[in-house]
Amino acid sequence: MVNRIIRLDNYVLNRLDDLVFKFCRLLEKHTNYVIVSGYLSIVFGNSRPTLDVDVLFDKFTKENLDVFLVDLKKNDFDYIDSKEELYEIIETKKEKLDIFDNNSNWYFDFKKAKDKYDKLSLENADLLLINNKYKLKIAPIELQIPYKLVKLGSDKDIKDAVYLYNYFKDELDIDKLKEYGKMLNCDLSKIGVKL
Amino acid sequence: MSSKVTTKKGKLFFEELVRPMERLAKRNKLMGIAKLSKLNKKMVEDMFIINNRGL
Repeated sequence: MVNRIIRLDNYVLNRLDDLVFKFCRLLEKHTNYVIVSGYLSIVFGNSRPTLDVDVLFDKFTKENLDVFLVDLKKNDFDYIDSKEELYEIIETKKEKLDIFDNNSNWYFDFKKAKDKYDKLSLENADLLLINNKYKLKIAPIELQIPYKLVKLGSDKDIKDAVYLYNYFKDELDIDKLKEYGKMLNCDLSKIGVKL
Repeated sequence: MSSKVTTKKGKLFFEELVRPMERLAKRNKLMGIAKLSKLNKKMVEDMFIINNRGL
């Protein structure tokens, strides 16, 4: 289930987009997921370098994870963790799993949704529909903005937050943005949100 | 958006992080996703080449 559909038409796909679609197509067969953080800013046109794509997932059984890992290998992705370490990620004992693309240096930071903000991102995900063909589940922009400002907080994250706010200024659900801002104790007026 | 920030740190925050991104987002929105994604493709492809030197 998705919250709303965000359409990007006449979008020119790049190699990173291709890789993200490929990964998410494999992933969605096994679990619910949502893309968060830097890639969201990039897909909406903020030209900044990145080496990783952050993806949160919901649940995995060991059996499902086994199938997913085989799928990954078949599709030119790789990981360096042992099977035991990989099982730990689904029990949230391990922070994240790095999944590498064999044909580039890009990799996926693959994390289990743990705190309430992760779960809110999954439950309120938007569907990004590119060229009426490619589908990606993305975290709500209204949550990403205060989350990046408060929880992440590097210069790069602040720039992403400001970029996303200004890019979506006329389309954002301002009440939601304020609600999430309050939840995260974030002073949104600093980036120009009228409170 | 008007700047009422007076502290050095606040001023830096506004001038170095907020204002440039406001301008970039405004320009990008006006440019439209077709042209914008074409520009972004060029940058990502260049980055792909840089990333893969030595692979």
